[in-house]
Amino acid sequence: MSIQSVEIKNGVKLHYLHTKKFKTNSLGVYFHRPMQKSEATINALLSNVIKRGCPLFPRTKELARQLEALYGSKVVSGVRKKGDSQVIYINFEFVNENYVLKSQPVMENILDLVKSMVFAQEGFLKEYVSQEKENLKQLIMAQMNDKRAYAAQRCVEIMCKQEPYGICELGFIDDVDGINEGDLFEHYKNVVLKSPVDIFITGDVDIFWVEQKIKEMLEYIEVKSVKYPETVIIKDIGEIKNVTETQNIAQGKLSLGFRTKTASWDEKYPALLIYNAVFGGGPFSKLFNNVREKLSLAYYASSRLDMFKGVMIVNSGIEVANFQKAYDEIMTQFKAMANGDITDEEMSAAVLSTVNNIRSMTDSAMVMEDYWLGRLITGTALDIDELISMLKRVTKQQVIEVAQNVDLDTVYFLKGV
Amino acid sequence: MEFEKIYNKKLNETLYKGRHKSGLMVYVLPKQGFSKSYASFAARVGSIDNEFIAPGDTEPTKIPDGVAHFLEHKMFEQPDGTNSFDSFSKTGASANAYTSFTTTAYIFSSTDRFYENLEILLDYVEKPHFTDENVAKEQGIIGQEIRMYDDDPNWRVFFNLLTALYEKHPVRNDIAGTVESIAKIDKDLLYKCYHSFYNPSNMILFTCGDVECDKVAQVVDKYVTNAPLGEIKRIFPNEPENVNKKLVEQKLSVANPLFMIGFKDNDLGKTGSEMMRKIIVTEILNRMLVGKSSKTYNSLYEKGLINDSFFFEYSCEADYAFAAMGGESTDPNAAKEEILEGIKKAELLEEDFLRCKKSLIGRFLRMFNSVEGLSNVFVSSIFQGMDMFEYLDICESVTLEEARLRKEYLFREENCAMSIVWPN
Repeated sequence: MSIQSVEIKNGVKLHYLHTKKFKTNSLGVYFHRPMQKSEATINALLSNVIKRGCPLFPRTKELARQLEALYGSKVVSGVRKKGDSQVIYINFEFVNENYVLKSQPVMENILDLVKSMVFAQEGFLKEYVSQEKENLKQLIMAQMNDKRAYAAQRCVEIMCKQEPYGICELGFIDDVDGINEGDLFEHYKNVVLKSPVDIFITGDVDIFWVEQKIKEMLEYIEVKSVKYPETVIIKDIGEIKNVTETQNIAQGKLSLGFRTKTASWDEKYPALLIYNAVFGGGPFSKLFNNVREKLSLAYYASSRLDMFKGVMIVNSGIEVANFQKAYDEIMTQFKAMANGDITDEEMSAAVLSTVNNIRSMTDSAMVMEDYWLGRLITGTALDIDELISMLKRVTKQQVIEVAQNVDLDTVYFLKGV
Repeated sequence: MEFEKIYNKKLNETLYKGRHKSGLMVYVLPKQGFSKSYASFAARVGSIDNEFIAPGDTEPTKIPDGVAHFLEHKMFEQPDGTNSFDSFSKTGASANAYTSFTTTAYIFSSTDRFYENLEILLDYVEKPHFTDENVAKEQGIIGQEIRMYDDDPNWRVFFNLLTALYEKHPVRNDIAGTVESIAKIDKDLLYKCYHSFYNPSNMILFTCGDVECDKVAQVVDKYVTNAPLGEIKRIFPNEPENVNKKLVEQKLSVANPLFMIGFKDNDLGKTGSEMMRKIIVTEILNRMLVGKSSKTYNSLYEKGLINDSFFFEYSCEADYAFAAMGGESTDPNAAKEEILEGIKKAELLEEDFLRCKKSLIGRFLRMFNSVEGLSNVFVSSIFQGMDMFEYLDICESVTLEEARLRKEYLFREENCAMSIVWPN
């Protein structure tokens, strides 16, 4: 699935990922903002308010009826953290007209909705804004419900307290009440609509016609800055941070935050992916085989990378009493990596599995949009095939070099009372 | 083995279906353009099968809760002391398994060397290796899996609802069992269950992606050598029509209360097209009553009684079925009252029926975007005797009148139970 990109106007790019394999098409719009405390909350709120209504369908119920009539088209919106930036997105997924009655032009109706909901809002209803303010507060608080994700998130917050990356992309409860519908509309009009934007279409459409429609849609949009916000990769680590928190829970959650000091635009990036895979990236990894299979301490023990920030988080669910045992074993495996204690089997399993995972990404429109979005933000226009051939060339020596550069930054433990 | 070719013009999809001499049903659904190919080797056994008469036996066997899931974990262990993940790590495939109420499936997806992976899959599932040591080790790992679910409010609110709806039927038990029930599992029990349920005549092989029938058949011939066994008699207790309890509550570490309302469906015993029809009518009805365009949904949402986490679903098997809905709520009791009232008062109009039907068609088509999702749906529908290629035709033919009758039958207050998870 190759990418075709065209600049619609200054700061606005349209990308087409052409494929006939799906029965639906996807259209995603992504606005780029720097992650900052002053606007994280309002951006999150905006992403929820724009899907409540628009000039074409002012009431939520009417909008829902229209989406159902368009064969259950789906609209998903929200915010994502991409390194030190916050992306506001809205995605439309709708059936390819070839599979339904041709008498109903689905794509054309969706483009009308995109225009109205994303680019041509004329103000926000007070009642909708106040409902979404309550929902946003609930959403921020409800992050604690998923203990596994919550522990990982707390680990990142503690580790990157001084960096934009440590800010929660949903914003802050205390900042919600201060926003009114006027502020929100002002922010939409003068900040968000003036930020760099990427539009992705994935599927099988008449792209020349779509491009024309999008050009018309954006006629009055003027982007001020065309540069994506930048992300800083921290290379100096002070003292290791140790934090334990308590909740009324059955299972303890241990999260360790590491700095790899390697960015996705570095030459060493493919070796970093293999490093993570050997360490904790699957059932062939050191963490799975030792923490789970050998010591029977956990059901899950794994590591994952954030390519934007060069941060790696290890997550595991354990008995509270086993904290020291689990921590020691994770660190033993971590040190083994740096000591070059990596077998040829581990190397080859990690490469094969990483290649398989990356190639598999092309089977999901959402995943491919996110992949290319990441590539655009980091300025590394590497397609899947190029990345795969780089992964296949990674040597054990390169993985060891990466390993020797990784440092533990934060130990976070969420335990029961 | 011979394959029958079934082409569906509306979907532009072809399914090949064949019966192997061992009794194994083999399916091939070729998908063009996808990177991944997928295989699922599935046995018709799940958490509800805890009492049965094995082929050749005269007396029933009763087993502790969680055996099907325990067996799923243990199948990965190989006689030479390795783990079948080790074999997949030599090909790069992503392998896994899952256990549901009714099914245990061993799966992999791969972007390369599909038939080699298929050999590994069939080989390891055909070779059980249980020892006292490896059973004891797994009790520790599954114990942590159970503890993980103990803290998962979405899981808890759902299983608590099932204990409210069902008094006797084993669907009320957690799939993984409990720390106590899995302590009773030993290797003999695992072998007994393996030999009873993992017979080719109680299994299917479903493949999807860049896959050819002849090559799949060759691998099956090589690895599946058992002869078909007789029928397994599954024993289920007589479940009363009434709900077990109106309300089950629990306190957990959550920010806001979570709730689920369930409606027990006693219209059971259907399979195949009849079951699919019932499912489609109920799914359309669900959308009409509490979907995003419904009066009830919008009223609840605007009052802040529900938020975006609200969902609804219909689960249907031959011997149990229920409709359920729920999510986070600041006031679950008020939400429940308003939902029941809204459902009672809802007028079912032709226009809404047709629109919700379209929405269902869209969801069905979307399913074909993922080789895994598609395969998993096919696997469970095959065990239910349903032909997914009939879906669009049945969807076209269902009527508003059926939805009206269904509403009167299913969505009654007497059939309804509720589960709430409160913050502690």
